[in-house]
Amino acid sequence: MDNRTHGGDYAKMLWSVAEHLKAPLSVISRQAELACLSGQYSLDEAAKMQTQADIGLALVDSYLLGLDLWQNQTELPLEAVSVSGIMADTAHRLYRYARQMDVTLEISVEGRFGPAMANPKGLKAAMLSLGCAMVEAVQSSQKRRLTLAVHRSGQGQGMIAGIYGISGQFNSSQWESGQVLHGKSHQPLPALHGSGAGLFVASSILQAMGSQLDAGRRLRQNGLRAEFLRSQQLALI
Amino acid sequence: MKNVLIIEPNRLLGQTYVKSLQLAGLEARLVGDAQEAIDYADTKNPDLVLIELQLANHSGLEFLHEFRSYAEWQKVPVIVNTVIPKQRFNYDPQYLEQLGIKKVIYKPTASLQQIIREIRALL
Repeated sequence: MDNRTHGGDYAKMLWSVAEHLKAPLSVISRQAELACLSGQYSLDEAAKMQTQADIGLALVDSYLLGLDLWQNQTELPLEAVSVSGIMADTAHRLYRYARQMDVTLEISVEGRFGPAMANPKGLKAAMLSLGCAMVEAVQSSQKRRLTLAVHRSGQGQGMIAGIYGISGQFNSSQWESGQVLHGKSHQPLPALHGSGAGLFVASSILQAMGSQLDAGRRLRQNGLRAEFLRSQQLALI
Repeated sequence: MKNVLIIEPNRLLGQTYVKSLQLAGLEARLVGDAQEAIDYADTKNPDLVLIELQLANHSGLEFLHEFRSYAEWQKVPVIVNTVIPKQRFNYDPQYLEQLGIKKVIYKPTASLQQIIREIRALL
């Protein structure tokens, strides 16, 4: 058996495992909700269970998308999307989870942006995946604040969407080294605890739409970001 | 009291749906597969069917074809509550209409309250 067959077999197994995880997570989430509705648990306890399970379910879908893209080497079709709208949606979806982890979320949109070329479903999945990983990464640090930002690219016609808030040193070479170590190390990125799976899934999805996740810095915060080309459609009007 | 037939292969999840519908003032019966569903519907006409399409032995769509072949069940509304993601759910809307499917819900992200809302809207 060559490496491709091995890799393919493991990818299939991972796919099946991820699909299967939806079942117990769905049960946990709905049971927590029922406990809430029936008054069996305190609202706070039940809400925590439900939020954790719901985030787990959303991540499974993002992971499956990332796995599909990686396995089949496909590209996601691009269209004009509101990146700031998607970032706001991501913040909304992350809010309860971040609050439970005692992490403050901020949104920063610098300037007025028209649409950018991206795949809306892929971008939502990537940003949610990235956001969850960042919440997990910063929740153990003293500064538990994340900024979901959309700002102009320093060069050319692009705009950047990123999530910033990593304390401690974090730069491109650490990110590159982490990409080599992921799948082999329990903590491929020293600045972030855990496997960082969500970051690599986000990276895979963004690559499939012609973008790339890179380390970056904004207003004294380190983080990860991706650049998108602005849509030229409205420029014709 | 309105009666909902829930066809859900995951027993724990199904029981949660039953209890939540009961809390909402609805009668609900859980079955795990297509044959049990037909057997139950023979004894008590449901007012609505909530169904997962990925069932053992017979798919939910096969069940609905058979269900619709009986005159007394032709007007019973159906809500599909499934683990099949929307992007893979590529069925023709006319086909869904023929099977009486009024709504398709993606199960992993559908809250109990959302499901109850959709059921109430059709009853």
